[in-house]
Amino acid sequence: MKGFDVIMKIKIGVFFGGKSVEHEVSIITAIQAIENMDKDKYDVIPIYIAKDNKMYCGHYIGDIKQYKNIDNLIHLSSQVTLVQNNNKTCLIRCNKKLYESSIYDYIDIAFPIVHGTNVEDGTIQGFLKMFNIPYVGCDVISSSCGMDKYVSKCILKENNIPVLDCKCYTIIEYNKNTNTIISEIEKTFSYPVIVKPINLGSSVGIKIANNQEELVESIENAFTYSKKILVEKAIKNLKEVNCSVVGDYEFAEPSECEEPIKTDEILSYSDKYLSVGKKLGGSKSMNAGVLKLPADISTKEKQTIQSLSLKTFNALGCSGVIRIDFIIDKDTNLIYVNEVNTIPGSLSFHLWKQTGLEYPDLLNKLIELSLKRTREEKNIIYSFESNILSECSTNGLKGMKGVK
Amino acid sequence: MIILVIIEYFMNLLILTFFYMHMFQLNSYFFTKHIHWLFKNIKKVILQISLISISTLLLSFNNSICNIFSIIILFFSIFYNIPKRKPKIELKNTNRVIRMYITEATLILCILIIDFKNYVFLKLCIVNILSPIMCIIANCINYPIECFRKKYYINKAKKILLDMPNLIVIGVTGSYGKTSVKKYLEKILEKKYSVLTTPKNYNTTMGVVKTIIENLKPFHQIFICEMGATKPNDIKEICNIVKPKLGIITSIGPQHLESFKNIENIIKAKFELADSIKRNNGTIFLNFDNEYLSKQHLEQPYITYGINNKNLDYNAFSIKTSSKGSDFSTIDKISGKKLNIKTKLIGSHNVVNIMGAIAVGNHLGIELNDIAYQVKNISSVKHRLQLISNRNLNIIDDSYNSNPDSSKSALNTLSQFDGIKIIVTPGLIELGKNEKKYNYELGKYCCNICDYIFLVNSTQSTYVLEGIKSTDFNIKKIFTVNSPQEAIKQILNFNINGKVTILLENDLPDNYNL
Repeated sequence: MKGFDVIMKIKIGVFFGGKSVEHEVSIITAIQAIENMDKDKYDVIPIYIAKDNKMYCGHYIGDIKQYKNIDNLIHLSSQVTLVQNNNKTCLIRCNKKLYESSIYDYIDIAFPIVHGTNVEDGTIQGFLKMFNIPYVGCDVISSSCGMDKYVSKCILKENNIPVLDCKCYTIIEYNKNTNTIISEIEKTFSYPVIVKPINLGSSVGIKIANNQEELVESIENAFTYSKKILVEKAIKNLKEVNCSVVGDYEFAEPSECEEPIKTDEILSYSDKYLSVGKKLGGSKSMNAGVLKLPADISTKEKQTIQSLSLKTFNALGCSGVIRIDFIIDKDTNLIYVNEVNTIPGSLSFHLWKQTGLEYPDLLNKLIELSLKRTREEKNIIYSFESNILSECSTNGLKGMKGVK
Repeated sequence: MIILVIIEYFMNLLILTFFYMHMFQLNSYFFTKHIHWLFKNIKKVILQISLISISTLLLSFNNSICNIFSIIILFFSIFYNIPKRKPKIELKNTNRVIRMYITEATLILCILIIDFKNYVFLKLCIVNILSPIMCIIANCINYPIECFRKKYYINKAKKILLDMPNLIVIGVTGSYGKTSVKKYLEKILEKKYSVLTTPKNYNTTMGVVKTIIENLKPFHQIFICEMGATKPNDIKEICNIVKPKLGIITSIGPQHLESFKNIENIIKAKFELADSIKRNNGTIFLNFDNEYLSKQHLEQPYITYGINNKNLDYNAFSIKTSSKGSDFSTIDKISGKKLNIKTKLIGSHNVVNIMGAIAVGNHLGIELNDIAYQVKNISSVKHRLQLISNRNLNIIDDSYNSNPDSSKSALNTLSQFDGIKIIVTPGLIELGKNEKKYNYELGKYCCNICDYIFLVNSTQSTYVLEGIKSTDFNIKKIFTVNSPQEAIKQILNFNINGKVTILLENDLPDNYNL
């Protein structure tokens, strides 16, 4: 027996995929992260969430090449579900074969690496929380606030962090009074305006409208992704800058800034991911091909962006690693927070590498933060130990209230 | 008719079996403790046996009137044996208990099967009479199985610990204050580390082993292990499993004297932890506020803590305690600066307990400033000088396992409250030969502080009463009740205007007053 074999490793369940438009991106991020985890310390169990939200485990789940043919991969893997068994959170096989044990494995810590609505928006965080298991990254509320562009704008505005003014409409409102809404938009903003579905990341469904015809078209396009949309003024001469933050409410630090290069008017889904999607498995970040790192900005701008990043992080109550996308209006030199990613693509490791933190160390830090949060949550009283109902009839102490 | 008699016999047997199993469990499955307990309650046992014997005797006359009498007596016996009160701690049907039931049932069956159809009533009578010691017999028969099971689990726990070479184990022992120190230390260490503690007051070998098997996760960095001792070598056994690197002895006092016989044996037992730490090249932390501990000479690295003694490594001074909490100062050894620490906890002995936790926390690299912040948020441990405030009524719940020193301290804490002060106590237990003396002293001490005294009916409370009577305390202000709940009800009926503080000092387990 080798010395390190006997040491008990922490079992990390990496959850990725999910019913989201960024399904594939999440697979890439997760498998990159798994490759970079310290294997002496962690025993990594990849858990793939298929597009129908079923979870799969198996020998091939951690192999990126298998994802070319997902149906075959699913066929080779076993469907699992989480179950609390004694003090462990186990992965139980749903369709166990006769000779197999029903328990596939157990996990100590969950590491959700999922992007987009239906998973990153607090859904998976809430799911994991129900199993009393420590999980990496933002908690339920900060995840959902970060996902909803309107809610996050409101919170940031309340905290005096600069954001672009916007209008928010639901599909019902729009269908009822299309004309009033169009004229209201035209009255509030001048063209060009930008239309976004409220809760999707990675620029999916975002379009710029230069006139009324385009506006209607982009609004209707956006409504296919979400029931709620956001309209804001488009900045013509802009620079996008991203900055990442790692930490928790007690201590957080900002990273170096990056500048994605825009090829189209806005950085599109294809720019962000597809251009490097083929070079998988390498150590390069997915968006490495289309960005300037460090960003081409002045020291003062960088300082402002970093301090705004920290403020944003705290205002939303985040934890773990997040990435904040900024817009600099080159005409006015004003800086705005554009978007918050509570689980950034590639976990923004390239930013941290530039800042001096290697990927494995970043992952270590994130895992430690999740344990710290679980410890602290334990101390808050969420439920009372004694069952109040049981004391109603039997306990004489109840009568105390009558005393004066 | 005969069938009715047989059913009655079985019912009686069933009730007795459950009852004695419950008591056996409360006596921690100890042979001597259970026998001792049986002798203490011999009156009840004799009554139970004689009821059964008389009815069997009557049956032997084979006369219908006698038969009817015997049925009535048996019925009375069943009625007598049905528990009247709801137990404070219910019988826990652990696997061990179930195994004992199985053995008991087999034994009873064996007895009944011998000479199948003859002497049926005699045999039924015998099994009924044997029921008080049946659980002991079953326990003896099961002994090899229990040993084997114990060994199996111990080895499993040892293997888990072997797989975690970086885990720091901290042993906490002492006659009292263990659970409190454990909780406070957990709170302080959580600032920096992932900590596992033995839950509630799990402090036996099997409790520790169970915690390791069920709760220890690979991400834990520190395991705080409460070690209790009811007899010599208990702590040694736990230490051999967990191999502690650090240890705290919170106090030494006359507790569990029934099994330890004298204080020297208690000291020896607690220092089994120090011996184990010496072997593991670790450090032991000692409460030098305790007279027995400060007298010890150790040839191994140790760190001392306590209050109002400049020579200690961790010393609390300018202590201010009130009904609102405590406030004290200590010196940061590294910077030499004075640091003020506040806590919500009441009672000066809690300051000592906190100092113990501070010493270990600081030793493990947590800065005093951070510790002070954590201490501020420590809340009291249930039933251990726990303050429950409700407008004008304060209840200090100190009902868990009391001892002479801490009951004095609890009374001192009570004296800091405004308004009317009341103590509710059944007296102190498990003090061996000195039981009378300590309870007498408790009674005397109460008179200086309390306005009213409520004694909960028990053997011990009569000694307390003697102590009270030796002073000039107004006899009209002493009340006798059957339970602490009853006392509180009566106090509420007084309709006192102004502030009232009730100290619930000690609560007896079910096997203490029948």
